Parts: sequence; structure tokens; C-alpha cells
Amino acid sequence: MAARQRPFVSCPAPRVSRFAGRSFLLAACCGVALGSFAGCGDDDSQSGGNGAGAGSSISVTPGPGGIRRLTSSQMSYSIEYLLGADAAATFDVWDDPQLHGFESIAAAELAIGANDVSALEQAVTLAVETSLLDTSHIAQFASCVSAPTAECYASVATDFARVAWRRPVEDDERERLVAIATAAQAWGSGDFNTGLKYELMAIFQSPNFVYQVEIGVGDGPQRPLDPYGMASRLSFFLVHRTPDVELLDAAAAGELDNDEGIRTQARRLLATPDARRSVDRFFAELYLIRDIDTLDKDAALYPGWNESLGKSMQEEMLRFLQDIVWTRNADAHEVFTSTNTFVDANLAAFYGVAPPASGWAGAEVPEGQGRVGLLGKAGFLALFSHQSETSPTRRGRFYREKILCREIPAPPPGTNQTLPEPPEPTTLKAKLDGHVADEQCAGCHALTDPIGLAYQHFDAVGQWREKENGFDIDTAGKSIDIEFQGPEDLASYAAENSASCFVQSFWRESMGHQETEGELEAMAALEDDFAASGFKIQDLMVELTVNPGFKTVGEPK
Amino acid sequence: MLRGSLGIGVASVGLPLLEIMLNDNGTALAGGAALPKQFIVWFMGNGFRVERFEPTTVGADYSATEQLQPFFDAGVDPYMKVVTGLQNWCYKQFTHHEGMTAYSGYNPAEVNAQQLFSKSGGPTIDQVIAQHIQDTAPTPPLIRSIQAGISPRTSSMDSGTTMFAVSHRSTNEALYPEFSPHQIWSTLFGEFQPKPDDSVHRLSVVDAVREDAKKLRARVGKVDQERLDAHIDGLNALEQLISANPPTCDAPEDPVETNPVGGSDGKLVLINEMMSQLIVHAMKCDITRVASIMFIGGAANTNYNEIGQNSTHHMNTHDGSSNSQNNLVHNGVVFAMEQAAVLAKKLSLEVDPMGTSLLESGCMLIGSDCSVGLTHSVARQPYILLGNARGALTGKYHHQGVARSGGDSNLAATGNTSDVLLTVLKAYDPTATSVGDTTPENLQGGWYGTNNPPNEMAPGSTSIIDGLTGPEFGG
Repeated sequence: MAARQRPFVSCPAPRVSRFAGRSFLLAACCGVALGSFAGCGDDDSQSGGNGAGAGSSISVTPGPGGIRRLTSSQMSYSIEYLLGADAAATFDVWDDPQLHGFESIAAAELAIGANDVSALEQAVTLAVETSLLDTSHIAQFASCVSAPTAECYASVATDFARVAWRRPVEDDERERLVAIATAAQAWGSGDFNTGLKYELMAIFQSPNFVYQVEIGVGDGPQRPLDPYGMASRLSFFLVHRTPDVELLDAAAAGELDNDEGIRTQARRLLATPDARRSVDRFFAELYLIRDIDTLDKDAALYPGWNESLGKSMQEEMLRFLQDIVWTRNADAHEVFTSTNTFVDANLAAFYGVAPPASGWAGAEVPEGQGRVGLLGKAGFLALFSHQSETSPTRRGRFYREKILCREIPAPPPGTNQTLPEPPEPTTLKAKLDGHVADEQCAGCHALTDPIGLAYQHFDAVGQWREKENGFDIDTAGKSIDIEFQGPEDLASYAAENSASCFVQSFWRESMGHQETEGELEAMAALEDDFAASGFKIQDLMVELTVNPGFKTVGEPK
Repeated sequence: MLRGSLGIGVASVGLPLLEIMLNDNGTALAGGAALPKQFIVWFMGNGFRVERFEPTTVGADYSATEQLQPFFDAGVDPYMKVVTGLQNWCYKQFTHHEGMTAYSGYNPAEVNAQQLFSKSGGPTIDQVIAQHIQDTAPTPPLIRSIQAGISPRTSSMDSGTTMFAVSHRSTNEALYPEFSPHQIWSTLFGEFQPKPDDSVHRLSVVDAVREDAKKLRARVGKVDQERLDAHIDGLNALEQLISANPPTCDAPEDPVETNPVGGSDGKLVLINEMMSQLIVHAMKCDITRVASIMFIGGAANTNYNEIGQNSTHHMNTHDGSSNSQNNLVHNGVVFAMEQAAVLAKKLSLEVDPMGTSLLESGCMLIGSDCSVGLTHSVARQPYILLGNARGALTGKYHHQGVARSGGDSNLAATGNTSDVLLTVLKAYDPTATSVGDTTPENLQGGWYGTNNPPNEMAPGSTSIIDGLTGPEFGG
């Protein structure tokens, strides 16, 4: 593997300003500059190495407490854990919307409607019925189902529902579940599984399953999560499913009351395959990788494009990220600077590199094309293009918003977004120069288009091209605060300036809200932890779980 | 306590309207209650070509235009009211989102223009009508409302809820469209398929779940209480559904089609046909009376492959070249109107024993998120109203706020699009006095798309448009 990486810029900056500048002061200046937080190492003495992990010295007014609905994938993974893969395969409840780029934020804010409740009943019923074809999976949590006795429904309520509900089941709740099961068993001519079916249906439709409860203990603006709330937040963040028995036992034993206990559990969970799937899902959502195989491209211009190629591009991006995060536990800068990739036969032909003997294999991207890091992957380039031509605006917007976490102002009302058509075919850059020159358009397009134009050697499906419409391609440019000769410079800039964006993205994903002003110092401390770890994503995730912002909630919303 | 020991009775279920249910005149139910009315919002994103949409004359004798021709071809023009030349007074304008005020009368909420983010500021007109029906109908339909989508290729640039759902019950309760005809069938008719009657046990589960929800509700803050109230509403609706007898009309066949993203290209006509058929059938059986259909979303990535286009309709609207505007955009609008006309025609052909069609007993509100996609303008944002709502609305009519004085780039407007919403609402609820947010906003410094805007204006309305009303309006 060869990584083209430049050292981070080292410049002291006030801890809070790195985030405050972006999130709260940006609108007035149209997302411009903010170089003050650009990859700055922070010598603030409060952090002291793993600063946030030290915890108590970090000031935080956490996000609001309350309930968060599980996302459909969190429900599905929990059902897989509790009822087995066959049951989970049938569980098809609804497509989650996103707010502010994250399903987890939508799940924390939006209500479910009447038809959703009905859909949940249908999906749960099918999953439960499937699980009863072979109860051995359920028996892992309530062994009595293998040879049921009269007390087994109570055992299911005590032991199985405890895992599904992420806390001990109270007496009245257990009695209600047992009564449902017993009545259904009688209706089913004494069949134990008939009673079990309705008991499980009640468990999985219950708000105790459907919502994460993060109310905290005590009063005031900073309330520690109770041990079970902490276990749930930890588990849904790291492995995207309900806590396992070991984690719940740790919560019960008070092991999550201190940072080392939390770190121990976090590292244990990160070592499971579920964590890899969870991080895959996170990046697939964050970088929109999951949309690639549904792209619609102009068949006349791109006859080689098909769903299979799109899936290969998705897989390439995920394998690339897995290699950095898991296989090598490498510096996150490589996300933008690495020149290695993974190809199957589809992609090998696409990139013009040697095909693997079978399946997937590591490969070096072709030299001299500027195809560096995530931003050089065909999937990214195809995703942020139109059907028949590239979209420098979309590519540039993705770079600003998703890689740097800087916002772009919206077009002014009434703007005619038409590009003047040049009399003769020329390059897109020549057309878009009008956007950047027009005062009304420049507020947005000067932030996006020059960046996107640096990738004009890659067409609307991400394929390399020497020329555009027969014209030479000029990849150099300046986008307000970023000057570059081509994609390699932009990759380096992304690496140097993306640390706070990684922190922000994991923060939002794990806690289901956009950061508040009261959380900025805690986020800055987490960024210090990230830097101290050598920018390892795994360490970022572990240190996030001991950050004061993660362990506490504010007043209920 | 379990359901079996409570002796819970089954709920009444909607039935197709039968002659025996009516009074002697056929003007009301035998008990005197009002006859059921249906309401549908049909939405397509990215606007029209105003100059090829608006009729040139006003009143009842207007003639077809190119973009209205599909409704004339479908023979539903006697029911068609066209409204043009009005202003949408949403004061927060940042592309597409503001146009959705035309379905609620509220400014969008939680606006973050940089993220192209907003939520609906309040309930949309279909949900206000659905609530009125639930509150007042002697036998409310089993499904409060249904939301269908045809093209699942929604916007990849916008965020929030406003641009992704036509129907909203509140700011935090967006009713997202379901794009799978199979799932729509399952929601509308799945409950009534033959199976062992385990309703007592399912209802016991619902009771337990509701109990859990109430217990949780007592521990959370106001915002989450509202979310749990919506959940409990859903449980109550599920209880109704489980308790109901199956309708006497035959259920249609499960269309099986799931319409995934990427699998829908080139199938908009087929999906539209399936969805239209399912909704008409459900309304005939009185399983639901309110629906919304999102044909394509605002700023959606939908490509009208079926008419030979190979770039998204949204992108076409932002290409100001004459070829794009006169051919691609115009043809795309005509194509969408043809699909709306498919549903309108089906409604017109479904006739009850008194000879009343669903287009006579109900109403379909057709519109977009802007008047002209090229500029996202909400000046002259038009509507089509198809159907008479049992005489509460008039038949064929063109109401125009102010005459058009130029092409798509000269969009003078007056009046208030929300007046149309209130007129429609009063056709269903004669007691309604306003719609949306009627608190005036200071408009100074904004951009409103019309000449000489007043100092302040509200996005909602307290006024109706007389020309749209029929003989039974207010009754």
C-alpha cells in the first residue's frame, strides 16, 4: 500500500472555535474560510492526552434527553440477535428517513404514524412466526423454550425481554406478558409456541423495544445516563443492535460506572463482526455509498453501466474503508490519501488494472490520474454526477459538506440557474465559470464548482478520460480558501482538515442530534483524543463512548 | 385483564354505499348523517410551464391548454376547476420547500437553508380533512389516510421532511409515501385476507403495548409525549382495524410489485396504474377516504424514461435553453398530467347505486411545489381541483387571481393560494374558518415573486374563493 500523505498543519487554536465556527457562525459568511480549525493540533492543557476520556474536566451541556426510536436497521439487527437470521430476513418494516444526513437524528425527532404501527405489527408477526420454526435461537436467552414448563412464559419475560428491552422487566410487565401467552396457549389447544408467539409479538411491538430511553438520572442540565441507558447507547452506536447479555450484566454489576469499564466493553464490542457491519452501515449512509447501485446513467453514453458495476463500486468503497478501519487500524487520513483500492473483475476492467484470480483483491489505482483516496473512487465520482454528464457542483458540495462538514448557502430565491449555452461545444469549466463570476451565484458556486471541476478527468460514471469534448482539462483552481492543482492537492487538504468532521459525524450518529453549543468543548476534546490516537477510527469510537457528552443527557425535550 | 374476558365488540366497517343506506332523496344517510366524501392530493414536483398550462379565459367556458389536455381527453373536464394567478405567501424561500406551503398554509419549520432543510410548519390539508372525517363521521373509515408514492427517486440534495412527504400531521409527524404497491395493498386490504381469527390475542397485545406507551409517556418531556401520542393514536387505529369485520366488497389482487429504487425506471406508468387502482378500490369500499400521491418529489432524481428522456426532469427544469423548456420540461409536465388523469378517470368511472361517481362525491387537488421549476417561483403557483365533493364545489371553472401578462419569467400574482385550501376544507367541514397560520409575517426584505408585496402577509387564509363553490357549499 502506498499512501500519499502530507503532515497535518500544526497551529494552535482555541478548542471551541473549531466547531463553533462551522456550526454556528457560518451562515453569515457563506461557509467561507474558517481556516482556524483546519487540522489544528490543540495544545490546550485541559485535554492532557486522552483529554475527554479523563472526563471530569471537560465542560459539557449535553443534548436533550428523551426517547429515540430504533432505526429499522437497529430493529432488524436486534431481531437477528434475538430471533435469528431467518427471522430478521423477513423483517421489513419501513424505510427510515434522514434528518440532517442521519437516520439516527430522524429517529430521535419524528413520530411514527398510524400506518407505521400497523406495518410494525405485520413485520413483527412475520419475524416471530419465522423464529418459531426453530426455537433454538430463542433458547440462547430463555433455555426453557426447548423443553417448556408452566413457568417458561415467565422465564421468557424475565430473561428474553430483558435483552430486548435492555433493562430488567418489572413485575407488572411480566404478569401482562405471561397472561397474553397463557391465553393464547389455551386458544391454541395448549400449544406452547402459540402462546410464545403472542408473548414475543408483545415484546417486539412494545415501546420498551421500539424506543431507546435516555432520560438520565436526577435533575438539571447534565444528567448521567443510568447503567442500562448507557449500555443501550453504547451498543446501538457500536454494533447497531440491542446490548448483549454480557453488556447488560456489566451494567447491572456497575462496570459502566467508570471510564475503564466502558472502554473495556466498547473494545469488546468493536472486536465483534457486528461492529464491522455497523461501521459499514455508518459510512454507507454518511457518504451515500448505499445509493450507488441505484444510479441511473445514460445508456447510450455509458453502455457499460449497470447495477452490477454499481454494486462493485459500493463494495470497493466499503472494502477500502474496512481496510483502513479494521484490517490495518490505520490513520484516518488515508481515507483521502491512500492510492490502494480493491477490485473485482468488473472494476479491474473498469480501472484498467490486472484482474484478481478470483473474487476481490487489493490493487493500486492507475498512476497519473489523480485517483487518490475515497474521492478518487469511481463510486464517488458516479454518485455525484448526472445521468449524462458530471456535476462539479455536486462533487464540490459533497467535498465541503460531507468531508469538511462546512455548509453551503442555498440559492437565493428566484435565481435562474441556467448556464448560458456557449456557441460551440467546450468544457464544463468554461460554462461554469459564468456561475462563479455571477455575483448572485458566486455565494454558493465559488465554494463548490472549482473543487468539483478538479475531477473533470472522471466522467459521469467515474471513468478516466484524457479530454472533455476534445478539449484539454484544467484541474487547477481556487475555491475561496482552497487553492489546488488537482485532485491530489484536494485529497491532501481533505486529510488535513477532516478530523473535526469525523468527530462531528460520529457524534451526530451516536447521539441522534446535531451538536449543541454546550457540546462543542467536549467535541473538541474528543478531537484531541482522536489526534492523540494517531487518528484511528476505532480509538475515536472508543473515546467517544467515555466522552462526557456521550455519558450524559440534558433536560428531556 | 385480557381481551377475551372483556367482550369487546367488533367495530363497524366501511361498506360500499348501498341504496338501502340512503334517505328517500339519496342526499344523506338514512340516519340523516352526511354522505361520505373522499379527498386526494396528487403532487408532482418541479412546476409547470405556466404559459402552456394556464387557460386564456376565465369562468366556466375555458378551453383546454396543452398541459390540461390530458384531463379533457379523459373526459373529466366537466369536474375540473383550474386556479391560476395566485401568490403563495410563504416567507421563507429557499428552493422547492416554500412551494409546499400550498398544501398546508404554514411556513416551513426549523428551516436551515444551508442544508436545504425544513419540516412542515403544520398539518397539511389532507390531514386536516382526515381528522375532520375521523372526528365527525358516524362510521369513520378504517384507514385514516393512505400515502402513496410513484417514483422513489427523491431529492438527493434536500433534507428534512418537507420535500419527502406530501402529507404531514404535524411538524414531527411526516407521513412518508409508500412506494411499494404491494405494501399499499397490504395496508389497505391485508387485514381482510382469510386467516385464523386471532383478533382477541392481537388486541391483548395492543392493550399491553398501549399500556407500555402510557407508562413511558409519563417519564418523558413534551416533545416526546407528542410523539408517543402519535404512537398511541396508531395503536388505536390498529385496534380498530383488527376489530373490524371484513368489507363486503372484494379485495383486489395483491399486485406483488415492490417498486424499489433502481427497479422503477421505466415503470412509472405501471406503478401509477397500480396505485390508482388500489386507492380507488379502497375508496369504493370506504376503507379510506383520504389519500395523497407523490408522483415525483420536488427536486427529485426521476427521469421520464418512458417518454424517451435521459436526464432528470428536475435537471431539465433548470436548463433554461428553449429546447429543454419547450420540449423536455413541457413534455414531462404533460406526461405527469396524463398520469394524474388516469386516477381521475378511474374515480369518474366508479359509480355507486345512486349513480354518483367518486369524482362527484370526492375531490382531487393536483399541484406542484412551484409554478415554474426554472426559478422555483411560487408566484402564480397553480392548482387543479377535480371533483365536486357532493356539490360543495362547482364543476368546470377557471379562477384567475390576475391575468398573465408574459411568459414564465413574468409571474405577477395576487390573492393567496391558501384561499383555495380553505375553500376545499369548507367543502368537507363547513364549520372551518381558517387554514394554516393566519398570523401576518413582516415581509420586508424578502423576495415574494410578485410586484409590490404588502408589508405583511400570512401564509394561511381566512377567505374562500366564491367561484369554486357549488350549490351544497357550507351545507
